[in-house]
Amino acid sequence: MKSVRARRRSGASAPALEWLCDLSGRTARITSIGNRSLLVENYRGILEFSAERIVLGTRCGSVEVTGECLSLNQVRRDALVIEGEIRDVRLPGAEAAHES
Amino acid sequence: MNRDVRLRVEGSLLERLIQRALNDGASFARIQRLGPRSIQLDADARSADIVRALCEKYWLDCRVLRRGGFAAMRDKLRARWTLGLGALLCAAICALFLSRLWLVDVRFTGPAPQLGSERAIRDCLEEHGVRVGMPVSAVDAELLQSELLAGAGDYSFVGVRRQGVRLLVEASPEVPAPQVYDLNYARDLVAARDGVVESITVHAGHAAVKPGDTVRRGQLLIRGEEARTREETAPVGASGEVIARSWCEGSAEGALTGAALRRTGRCEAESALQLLGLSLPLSECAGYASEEAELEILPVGGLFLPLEVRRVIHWETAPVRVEADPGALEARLRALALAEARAKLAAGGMDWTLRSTWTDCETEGDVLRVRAVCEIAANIAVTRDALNQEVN
Repeated sequence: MKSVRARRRSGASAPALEWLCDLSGRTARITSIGNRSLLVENYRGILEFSAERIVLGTRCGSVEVTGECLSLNQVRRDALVIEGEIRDVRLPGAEAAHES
Repeated sequence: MNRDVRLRVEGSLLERLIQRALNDGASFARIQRLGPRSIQLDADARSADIVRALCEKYWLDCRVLRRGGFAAMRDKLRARWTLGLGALLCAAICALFLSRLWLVDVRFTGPAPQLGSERAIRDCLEEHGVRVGMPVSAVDAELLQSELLAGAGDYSFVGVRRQGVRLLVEASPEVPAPQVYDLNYARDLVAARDGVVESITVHAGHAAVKPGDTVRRGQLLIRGEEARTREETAPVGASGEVIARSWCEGSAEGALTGAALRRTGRCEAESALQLLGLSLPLSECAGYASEEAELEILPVGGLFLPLEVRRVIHWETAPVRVEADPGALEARLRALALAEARAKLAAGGMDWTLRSTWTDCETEGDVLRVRAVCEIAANIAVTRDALNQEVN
């Protein structure tokens, strides 16, 4: 299991203060189970949805998931599960980091 | 979150539609993209209603592909209300059927089941109101059990069990108690029938006969007294066994000649045409004082028309004297005489062993008489009370 925390700022926060972000409950949390299932919590909206690409809005930017036969499962207002053959997950701030 | 309803929505900006539905409180079990302008939603009934309301509001095409769950079942039942009514009727009939008593079985158990009388138990059940078709709840098994035990006859055990629509009555007939007597009660043993004593075994008392003696019915065999001292005797209950040869006779007789009707050879015939119950005489005759009649039926109309000619032939008969077959008559009379002798022995009510049988015949005029004798060996010692009961 791989856990990735989307961070709002481009610079990394101090590890000792990471738990404060979790405590606020507003930071998006993305949990991947293999490459077949991806749990996204604290998202803010579905920006784009197709079988190959799903873009979700979060407080710190958009999360882009690409793959094949993607579908949304257990969709609630604050959480959803993306199922399908997931190939790539692009986190907010990754584009800026990539450009720099 | 269930998947009672499956929707298909077509239009543009469907992501916004989903987001608005989520904001309105909807939730979805699964969302699939079918094409650039269509998605498929699996949701519960409430969320589906929200999506449909939004689609109406924004002029989107929304179709229900499948409905499931309680609502769908309710709709199906509404569409097929006769099915529900039939099921209810069936359940009511089943409940009515299962609440009644449809079988009453009587079974006899125990060491002597052949002594039980099913008729007596069924009569007793009817007396107490138990009948086929009565409500099962009206049967009080324990009460019925005690009533059967008290009123159905001699039973050592009666069990009544309800098994669904069946009432099982199990009864164990009472085994008759063996004949007992008081050892101290003074009594003699006497001969139950005439015979010649073969052996005598005395368990208590004093033998009054010895082997080879000829005894008559009622004669004293074992005296019920024992010597206490040389001068003094005391009465005891005599006990022992006296095996004696005895005989039982049966007889039969039959006539060697008899009268029979023979045809003389003269005959007359009459005929009539008959259709169903209607009869048209074709020829008539007077007949004879003593005659035999033969009927011949000649179908005229074939298989389908019951038209027929009935012809009756009257044969004159005259009585003639015929002689019986002596051998066959004798064999028949022997069998009858032996059967009578055996029946007499069986009616005596004692255990016996058949030693031999013989028959003799005698002719007296026109009558053949056969006498059959069965020689048996039996214990002929009985009490006077038993002998008197046999006489009565």
